[in-house]
Amino acid sequence: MRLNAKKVLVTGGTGFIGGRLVEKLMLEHNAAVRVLVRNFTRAPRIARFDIQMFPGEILDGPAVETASKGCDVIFHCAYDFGGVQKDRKRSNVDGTENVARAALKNGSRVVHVSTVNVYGWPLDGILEETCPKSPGADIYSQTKFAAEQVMWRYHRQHALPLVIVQPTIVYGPFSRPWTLAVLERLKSNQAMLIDQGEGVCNAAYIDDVVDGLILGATEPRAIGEEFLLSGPDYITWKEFYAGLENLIGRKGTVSISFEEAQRLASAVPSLGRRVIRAAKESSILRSAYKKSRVFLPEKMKERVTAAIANIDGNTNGGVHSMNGKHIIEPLDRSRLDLYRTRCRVKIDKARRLLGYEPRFNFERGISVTGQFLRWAALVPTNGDAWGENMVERRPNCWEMGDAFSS
Amino acid sequence: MKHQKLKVAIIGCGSVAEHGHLPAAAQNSECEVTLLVDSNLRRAKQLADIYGVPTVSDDYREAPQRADGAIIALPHHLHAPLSCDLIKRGMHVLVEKPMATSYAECQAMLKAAQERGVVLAVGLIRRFLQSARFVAWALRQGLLGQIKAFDVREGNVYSWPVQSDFFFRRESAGGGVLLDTGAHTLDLLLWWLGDATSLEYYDDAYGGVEADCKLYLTMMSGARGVIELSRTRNLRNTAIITGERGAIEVHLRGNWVVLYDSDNTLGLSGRAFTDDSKEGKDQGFSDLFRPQLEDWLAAIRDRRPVAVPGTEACRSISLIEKCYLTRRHWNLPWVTPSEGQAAVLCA
Repeated sequence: MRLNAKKVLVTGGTGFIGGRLVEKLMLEHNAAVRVLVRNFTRAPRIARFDIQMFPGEILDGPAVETASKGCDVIFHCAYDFGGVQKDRKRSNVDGTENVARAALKNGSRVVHVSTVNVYGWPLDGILEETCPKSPGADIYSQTKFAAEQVMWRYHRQHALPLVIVQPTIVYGPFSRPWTLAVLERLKSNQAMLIDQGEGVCNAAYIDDVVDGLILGATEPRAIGEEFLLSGPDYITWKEFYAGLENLIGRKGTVSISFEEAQRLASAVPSLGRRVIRAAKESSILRSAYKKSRVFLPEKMKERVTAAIANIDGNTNGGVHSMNGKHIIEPLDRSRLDLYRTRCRVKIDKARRLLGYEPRFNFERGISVTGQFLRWAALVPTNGDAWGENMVERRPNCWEMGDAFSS
Repeated sequence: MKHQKLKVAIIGCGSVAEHGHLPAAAQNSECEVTLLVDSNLRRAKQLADIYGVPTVSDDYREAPQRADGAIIALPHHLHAPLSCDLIKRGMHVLVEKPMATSYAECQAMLKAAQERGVVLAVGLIRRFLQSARFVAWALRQGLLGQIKAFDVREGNVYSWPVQSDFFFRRESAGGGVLLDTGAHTLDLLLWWLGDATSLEYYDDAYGGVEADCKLYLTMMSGARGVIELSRTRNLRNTAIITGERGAIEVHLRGNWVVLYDSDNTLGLSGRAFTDDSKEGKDQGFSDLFRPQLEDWLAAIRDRRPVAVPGTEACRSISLIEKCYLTRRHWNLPWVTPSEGQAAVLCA
């Protein structure tokens, strides 16, 4: 089934999953796509299409209502990673309620993008939709879980036509957490493998997940159901990282045991991690943090990294990267569970009810990802090892928009 | 003799007015900003308070009563009609790049300025980069010998703090990265290497405005090369120009230049200078608005040509127009074959 000429609203359309969804809706479905845009600076990728862009954010009820008027389907992909815990809860949970309310008013079907994290990560076994939900203590898992509850409430109390999808580790072109950020860590030798990376990485290539979302919007039997969406194969974290290491042409991981990682996590107190996280999440501090990693002399960079790791006077918890130069930022408990689990995510329900059939095994997915990364000059092309097109060799002159961040 | 200050109106109070034109004017003793115009009066008032501008308006037609010259920093599609109107009312104009969204509009602006005898300058600030001027000089002198090839990559993950969505609507922006960033990049290239004789152009737009594009050019000199522009990728932001005796790599957004011999084994890198201090300094984004304003004011005062006249800006607009007319679809690496076929149909 297709969404031809259907009116469709995408929240989070300037993001990773929403951006690819917009591309597919336009190219494969010729849908009439609208996007609610919070920040037009992030709009270049979707502005390539003849779509309607509505200014506003999900917290702005009237803006959501205007954008969703007359829509057959709302894909709710928006997630706000910014702000302190309280703000994040407000924007993501209250914002989700605005989407549910607008959908109800319009009679739109909602495909709500949640995450596998709502189940937590058991040590082993099979993870499927019947498993109990036990989200980690991290704010992402907590807010995603709370947003699901809002959607379910509207489904139960008001018969909102709802489909929830719960993607796993989504990688591919433009993925910040599972492609670009991993690549940055590998390049700076700061990627940590737990227990030799033998844990299971339930990876899903972006196109498969987007196909799952579209099936959720079109398949009649999907309403009132939730679906885990993952790839066709199970790989280890070691294999996942190796896929990206192959692209940069060298190793960038350091391996430690779960116990060591746990000790490190507890050695750097949660306050310290919160400081690091806050620094990364605040737009001003994030910029300073990012720039410090790029621009600072090597010695000062080491000092900054060490200072972060030694917050609260604790000096015995650092893990050095493979070149011994950097101290790696400790992982929080949820991440540790994710890297350690041997749990396999089952996608049988999506196969059965949606006709979901992922087409990208890891080999194929990472191959396309590699093409994207070469195109983006983030990894060397053949015969051009860190050569002509790589940014790293050039001085850092101003960027468009730099004048405004200083 | 002390000159009378030139009264200037700034039409359009977006980011470039706030961070480029207004700070430059505040530091210039030969002009005073007497009017700010914006459809959003609150925004105009906010900037007027910061920079001590006495009057704000939402009607640009007030400008001739309050100023001698106008800086136009509006959505692209308004550059030509407002410039022409203000020129006809006798105002000198400094219009932001791109000069206009079509070659015909550029010609109309030039004609109006010539008939009215006013100064028309175009905001191609990179002409004031000292390294760009050094490259122009070096190539004019034949330092590299016959130019064989060039390779230009400019892009960054878009970070311009847009005040509205005009950049992303075809009807107001006139185009995407080619018209926006390319107005700068192609202006420099044509300045350095002369006009092009043939082109092959690809971009990724599907009915909207392109975020990435690639242009293959052959110049009248016979030099051939590629220009890649992006709003989604951090590219190296340099031009590499190769001649029979060596090569130059020059930064497109900063004062940095490298000279190589023909084997790429001997070279020299650093910053260019254009005064007798013999010391190359970094030139930030906002540093370039000062010399641009000084040049425009001096041209008005001394009745001499501006450094970047409209006739120069026309060349890159003409090339950009040809690109759009002959565009082919650029299939991005993650786009599947079936999507690619659909793209051809909907482009």
